Amino acid sequence: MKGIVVDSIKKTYISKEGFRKKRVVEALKGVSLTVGSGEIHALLGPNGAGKSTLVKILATLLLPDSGRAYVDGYDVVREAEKVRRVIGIVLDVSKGFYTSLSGYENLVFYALLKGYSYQEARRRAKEVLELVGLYEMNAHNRPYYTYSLGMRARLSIAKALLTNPPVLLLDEPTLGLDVESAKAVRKLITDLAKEGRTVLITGHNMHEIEQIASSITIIDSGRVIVSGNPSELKAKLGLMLKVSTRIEGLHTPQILEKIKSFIPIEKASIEPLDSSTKIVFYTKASREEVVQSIMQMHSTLDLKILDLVVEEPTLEDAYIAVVGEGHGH
Amino acid sequence: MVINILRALTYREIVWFKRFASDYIVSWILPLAFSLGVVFLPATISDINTVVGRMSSMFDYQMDLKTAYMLALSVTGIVNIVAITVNDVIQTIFSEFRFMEVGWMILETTSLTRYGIANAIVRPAIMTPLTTLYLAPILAYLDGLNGLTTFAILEVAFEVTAIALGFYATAIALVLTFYTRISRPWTISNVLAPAILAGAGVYIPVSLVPAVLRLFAYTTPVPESCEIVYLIALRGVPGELIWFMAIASFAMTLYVAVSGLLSKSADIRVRKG
Repeated sequence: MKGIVVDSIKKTYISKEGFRKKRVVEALKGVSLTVGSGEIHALLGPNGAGKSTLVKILATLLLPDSGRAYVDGYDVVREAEKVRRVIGIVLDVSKGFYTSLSGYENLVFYALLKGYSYQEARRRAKEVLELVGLYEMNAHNRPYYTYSLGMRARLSIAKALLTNPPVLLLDEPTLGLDVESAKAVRKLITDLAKEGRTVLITGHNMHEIEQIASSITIIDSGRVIVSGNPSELKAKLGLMLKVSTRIEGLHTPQILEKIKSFIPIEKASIEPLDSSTKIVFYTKASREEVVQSIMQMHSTLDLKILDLVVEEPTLEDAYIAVVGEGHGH
Repeated sequence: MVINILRALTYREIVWFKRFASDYIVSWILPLAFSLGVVFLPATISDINTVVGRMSSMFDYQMDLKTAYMLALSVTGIVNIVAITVNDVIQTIFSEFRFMEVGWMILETTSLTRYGIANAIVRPAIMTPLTTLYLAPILAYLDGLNGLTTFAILEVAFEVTAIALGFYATAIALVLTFYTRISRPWTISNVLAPAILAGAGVYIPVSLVPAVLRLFAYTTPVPESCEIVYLIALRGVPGELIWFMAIASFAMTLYVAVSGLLSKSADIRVRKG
C-alpha cells in the first residue's frame, strides 16, 4: 500500500547513568497508524510522547524494537535503501547542515550524496531554493550560520524536497518560526499535498495543524490515544459545543431550566451584567438543536436575546481533553 | 554507493578550500618560518657551518647548506599533514554528529561505515597537496627540476601517510563521538598531533627519541614517514620507498579494519538510539 502504514511499533531507549545504573525509556509502546496516499496526517502529542522517535523510525534513521512500518509500500527495516529513495525528511529545523557552507552548497552536497550528477545536483538545488523562497531572499549563497530560524526551516524543507519524494516526514517544521514564515511553510506543505504527496507532520500548534491536516493521531507516552479526521476526533471525544448568550428580561434560572427542557446541559455559568445577563453553557446537543432550543425559549418567555454565539470545539480542546490541560499549547 | 560519497566529499573539500584559503596560506607560511628557524636559529649561537656539520653527523649524510635547508623544509610537510589530518578528521566527525547534527543527513543517505571510510580517504587526500603546496616552488627554486622531482616523490609519501592517519584519526573520532561523553574533542586532538610528532622525532632521527615517546608514535606510520622524508630529501628516490609503502599499507589495513569495525558498531548504536 502507498502512503504510510505503522503496525504495533515499539521502541525502547536504554541509556547508562553512571557505571551500573541503566535508564530505560519506552518511547513507543505499540503504535499503529495509517496515512493514506496524498494525505496530510498530523502526529500530535506532548514533548516526549514519541513523535520524533516514530518519524526517525519511518525515516530509517532508527531501528524499531518490534512491529512493522511501511513507507510507500517498502518495509523501513528490510528495504531501508528503497525507503530512503521515496522520502524527504525534516528533523530539527534549527540545525542539520554544515555551518560554514551556504544553503546552496549544503544542498549540492546532499544531492551528490543522493547520487545526482554534479550538473543535476546544482540544477535541482537551485530549483528547490527558488521553491522555498531562499533564492529570492538572496540567502542561497550566504553561509548557513548567518541564517535566521525561518531561513533554516525553509532550507530544511528544500532539502526534503530535493529528490522530489512522494512521501514527506516533517518533524515540527514550523517550530520557532515567525507568523509570516510559518504561514509560508504551511502553504508550501498544503501545495505539496495537493500535488499528491503523502505528508506526515508533527507539531504543537493546534491552530496550524487544524488548518492543514486531513487526519490526526494523538499519541501520549508512546501510545496512540485517538486517531481520525479533526471532526471525527472531536465527536469521538464527546466534545461539547460552547454556547454564550446575553439576554435581557426574566430571571436566569428560569431560562436555564427552560433550555434544559429542550437539550441536555453539562455545565453552565451565569454572569449578571449591568442591564443584562451573560449565560455560558456546554452541551453535547447538535448546533441545530441548540439554535432551536434558544428560539423556543425566546418564543415562550418574555425576554430579549442580545447576543448568541455557538462555538465548535477546537482541535486544541480535543488535544487538551486527551492529554490534559498541563500539556496544552 | 561509495562513489556518491566520494563525489560529495570532494565537492565539500573544494568548497571549504575556497572558503578557508587564508587558513591554508597560514599553514604554508608558518612551516616556512619554522624550517628557516631549524637551520638558522642555532646558527645565531654558533655558526652556520657548525649547524650543517651537526645535521650531517645526526643524519649520517654529508650535507651542504642547501641540502640541510631542503631537509628542514621537506620535514615541515610531515608536521603539517600530521597536525591538520589528525585535528581536522577528529573534529569534523565529532562536530558533524554532536554539534551540527549533519550526521542525520549522512545517515539518511548512507551508512556510517561507508561514510567513515570515504571521509578517511578524501579529506587527507585533498588536504595533503593543499597544505604542502608551498614546498613545490621553494624546492624548485633550490634545486631546479630535481627539486620538483623531490616534491613529487615527497607528495607520494605524504599522501600515503595522510590517508593512513585519516583512518587512524577516524577510529579515534568514532570512539570520542559515539563511545564517550566528552564535549571538547579538541582537547584530545590538539594533544594527539604534537605527541605523535614528538615521538616520531621529526627533526632528529627517531632512534634518538626516548623510548616512551617513541612507543606512542609507533601506533602510527609517522616515524617511518619521517625516515622516508629524510631519505627522499637527501638521496632522491630511495629503494626504501617500497619498504615504507609496505609498512604504511600494513598500518592502513589495520586502521581500516579497526575504523571499519568501530563505524559499523557506531552505526548500529546510532540507529538503535
